[in-house]
Amino acid sequence: MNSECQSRSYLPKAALWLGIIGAVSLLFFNLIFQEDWTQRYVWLWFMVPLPVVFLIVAKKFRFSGGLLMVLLAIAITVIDILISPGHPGQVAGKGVVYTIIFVSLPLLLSGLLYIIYRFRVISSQKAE
Amino acid sequence: MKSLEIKRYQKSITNYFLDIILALSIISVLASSYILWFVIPRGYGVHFDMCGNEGMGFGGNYFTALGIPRYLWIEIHNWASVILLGLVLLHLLLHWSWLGEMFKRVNSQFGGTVRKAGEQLIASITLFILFMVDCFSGFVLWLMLPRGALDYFYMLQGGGRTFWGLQRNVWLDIHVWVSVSIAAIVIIHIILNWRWVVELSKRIIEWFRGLFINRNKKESVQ
Repeated sequence: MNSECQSRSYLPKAALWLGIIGAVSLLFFNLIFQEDWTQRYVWLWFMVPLPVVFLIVAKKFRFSGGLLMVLLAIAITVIDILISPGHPGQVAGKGVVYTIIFVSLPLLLSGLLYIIYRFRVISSQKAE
Repeated sequence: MKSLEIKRYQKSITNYFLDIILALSIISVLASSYILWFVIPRGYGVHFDMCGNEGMGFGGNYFTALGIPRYLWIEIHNWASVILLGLVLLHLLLHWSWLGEMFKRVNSQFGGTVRKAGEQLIASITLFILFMVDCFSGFVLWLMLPRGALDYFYMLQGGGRTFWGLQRNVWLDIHVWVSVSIAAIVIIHIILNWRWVVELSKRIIEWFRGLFINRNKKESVQ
C-alpha cells in the first residue's frame, strides 16, 4: 500500500521539474551579475551547480535535499537584495521582484514539495 | 491496417524533421538573445564608450559580436522569432489530434499512462502559453515601444513611454525572464519525449545505413 502510494505520488516529479526550471533560471541570474565590468561577482559561479547537486541529494534524501533547496532559494533572494549591481533598467532582467518570481520561487516550491512528500510518506507509514 | 501504420510512420518522420528545424530555430533565437543580453548589452542612451556597469551606451548599437553589429543582431533575433512563431503554430497544428487524445486520456482517469500524459500535456500547454506571452512582449518591444535615445533618463524618473501601463524596461525584463522559463521547459519537454526522439532517430539512421549498404551491394554486383 505504502509503496503503491509512493509510486503514484506526483510530488517528487513536480519537485524535480520545478528544480530544473530553478536551475536554468539560476544560471541566467548569475550571468546578469557577470555583466558587472569590475568582475566583483565571479564568485557567484559556484552557485550554478548547486541546484543540480541538491536535486541529486533530494532523490535519495527527500527532506535534506528539499531543505537545501529552500535555503538556496532564500540565499539567492538575500544575495540579490544585498549586492544588486547598477540601477533598474541597466541590465535587462535585473530586479529583486524578477529574482523572487523566476529564480527563488521555483527552487522554493521544489524544496517544499520534496519536504511535503517526505512528511506524507512518514504519515502513511504511521497509518499502516 | 498496414497502410494506417505506414501513414503513422510517415507522419512521425514529418514531425521528426519539423522538430529538427524547430530546434535549430530555437537555438538561433536563443543564441541571438544571449548575444544581445550578455555579450553586447543595451546601454543607457548617451555614452559612446563602455561606461562602468551601465552597458555599452548609445554607441553600443554599433558594437559587434561575431562581426555583426548590435542593431543587426536585433533584426536577426526579431525575424528568427517570427519564423519560430510560424514553426510553433505548425507544430501545434500537426499535434492537434495528439493534444485531443491526451485530453481524453487524462479526462478518462484510466490506464497507467495517465500521469505521463498529464505531465506531457501540462508541459506542452505551459510552454505554449509562455511562448505566446514572450511573442507578445517581443512585439511590444519591437513595434509598440521601440528603443530611442535618452529613453533611459525618462525611464528612471518613471516617465518613460508605456504600453498597458508598463515602461519599456519592464516589458524587456518580462520578455527575458519568460524566455528563460521557456528554455527550462523546453528541456523538460525534450526529456519527456526523449524515448520517441531516440527511437525515431535510430530508425532513421538505420534507414540511411540501409540505403548506403544497398547501394554498395548493387555497385559490387555490377
